[in-house]
Amino acid sequence: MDAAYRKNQTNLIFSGIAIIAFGIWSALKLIFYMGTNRAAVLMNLGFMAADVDSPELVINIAAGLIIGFSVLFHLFLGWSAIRDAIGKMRFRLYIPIAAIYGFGVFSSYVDELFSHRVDVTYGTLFISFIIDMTSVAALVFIIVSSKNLKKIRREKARA
Amino acid sequence: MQEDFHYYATYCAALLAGYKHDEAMQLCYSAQLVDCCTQTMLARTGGPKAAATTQLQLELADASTDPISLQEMTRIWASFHFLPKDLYAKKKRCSLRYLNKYRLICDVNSDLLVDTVELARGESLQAAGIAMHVLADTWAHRYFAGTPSFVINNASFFHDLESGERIKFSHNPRSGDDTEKGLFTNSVYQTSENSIMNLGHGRAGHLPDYSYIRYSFMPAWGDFEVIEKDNPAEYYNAFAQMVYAMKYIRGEVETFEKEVYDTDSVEKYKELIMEILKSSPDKTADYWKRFGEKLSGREVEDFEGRKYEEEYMAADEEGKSETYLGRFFLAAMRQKSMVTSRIFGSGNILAGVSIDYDIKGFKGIRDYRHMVNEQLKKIEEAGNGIN
Repeated sequence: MDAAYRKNQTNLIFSGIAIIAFGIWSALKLIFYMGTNRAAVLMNLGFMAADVDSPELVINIAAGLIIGFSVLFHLFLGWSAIRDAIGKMRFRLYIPIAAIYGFGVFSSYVDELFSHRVDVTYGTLFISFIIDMTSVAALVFIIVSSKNLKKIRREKARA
Repeated sequence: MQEDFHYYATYCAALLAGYKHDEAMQLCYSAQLVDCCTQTMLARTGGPKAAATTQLQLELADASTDPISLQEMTRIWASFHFLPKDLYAKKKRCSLRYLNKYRLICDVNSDLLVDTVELARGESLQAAGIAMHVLADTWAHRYFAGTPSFVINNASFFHDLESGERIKFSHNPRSGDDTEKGLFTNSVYQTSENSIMNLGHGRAGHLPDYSYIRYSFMPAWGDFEVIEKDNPAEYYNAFAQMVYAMKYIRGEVETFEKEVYDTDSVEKYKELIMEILKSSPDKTADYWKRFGEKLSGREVEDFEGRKYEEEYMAADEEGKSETYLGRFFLAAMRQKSMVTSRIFGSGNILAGVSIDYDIKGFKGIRDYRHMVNEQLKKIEEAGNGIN
C-alpha cells in the first residue's frame, strides 16, 4: 500500500508541475502569436486593414487579461494537485474543473480536425495537438492519481 | 566494501576457514587488489589490460558512453563488484533494453556466485581472493547494477533507520563523508541514462560500504518500494559465507551451495564481529586487524598496493605467469571471461560478445590468448597425469 501511495503521490505532484508548465507555455504562445501575427489576430476580430497597425490599448489589455487568466487557471489546477498530493487539500473542486477543461481541449481538436477549415495549417495543428494532448494526459493523471490517493487514504484511516 | 572488509576481514575469514597465516595474507591481498587493479596500474606494470578489475574515477571520467566503452565498463563492474543475481529475471511491461539492465542487478546467493566460487576451487590463492572480493561485494552492493543506468541505479528517499532522519547528500567528492556528523556525498543527479553518475551505487554514495549503517532507500527499479539495508547483519552473513566458501575452495567441503553460511565456525566470535561491524568506519580496519592478529598470533601487514609490482616487472615473459601479479591477472581474466560468457549466453549484449573457444577457436581480445594458453597447458598437464 505504501508503494502505491508513493507512486500516486509522485504522479500527482509531477502532473501538477506539468500543468503549471503548460500554463506558462500557453501564455508564451499567446504572447509570441500576438507579437508576430498581430495583423491576423486583429483582422480575425473584424478590424479593417487600415486600422491594423494602429496601437489598440483595448486589444492589448484584453490579450493581457486572457494571458493572465490562462496562467492563473493552470496555476490553480497544478497547485491544487500538489497540495492534494501532500494531503493539504480538503475540497477537491479542481478535479471536475480539470475534467471539464481536459474534455474541452480534446473536443476543440476533434472539431478542428473535422471542420475542414481552409485556413488550418495541418502541420502546425499536428504539433499543437501533440503538446496539448500531453497536457490532457497530465490532467487525466491528476484525476486518476487523486482518486487513487483518496481511496488509499480512506483504507489507511480504516486500518 | 572497503579495505577493512576486503583485506582484514577476509584475512580473518581465511584463518577460520583453515588457511595458514602466509596463505591468508596472499589471499586477502588479492581480495583487496581487486579494488586497485586499474588500467593505469596495468599500463604501469605492463600487465594485460583485459585483467582490469576496477576503474579509477579519472578513468571513468575519461570513458565515453559509446556501446563499446559501456560494454567494457559493464564487464569490469558486473564481473567483480556487482555480480548479477538473475540473468533470466522476468519483468512485465518493459522494453528489452530495460530488461537487459534489470537482469544485471546484483544480489546475494546467485547462480553466478556459485560459478565464481567453483571457478576458484583448486586454483591459486589469488583466484580465491578474487572470489572472496566478489562474494563480499554481492552483500554490500546488492540492489544496484554494474552498468551505468539511470532507470536502474538512481535512488532516493534515503533514511537512517536508527534515527529515522532523512539522509542528505552533498556532491563535492573532495569534501568526503563525515560519518559522525551524518554528512555524506553521492554522485550528481543525472537523468542521462548512460551517465557515469548512474553506475553502480554512485547515487547511494558510500553508504553500502559502511558496515555500521542501517538505512532505507527507494531504488528506481523498485516501483516505489522502499528497501531496508541492515549492513551489520548483512556483513556478518558475508563473513560467514566467506568462511564456508573458502572451506570449499580448500577442499574441506564437497559442494558450495547458496544460502549456506558457516555460522558454526563464526558463532563464538559473533559478539566481537558485530562490535567491529558497528564501530565507526575509521576504526573498523584497525579492529579487524587486531582480531586477525589475535587469531593467528602473527602480525598482519598493512595493505601496500605496489608490493608485488617489481617482481612482475622484473620477470621475463615466460616467468610472469608464476609471479604473484601474473597469477592474479590470469585469475581476473578467467573470472571476467566466465561472467561475460554467462551474460552473453543469456542473450544480454550489455557486457559485450563472448566467443566459445571450444566451438569457434580463439577470437577477440588478444590479452585473453594468454589465459586460454594457460588453460590449455593445464588441461594437457592433467591429461599427462602431471599435477
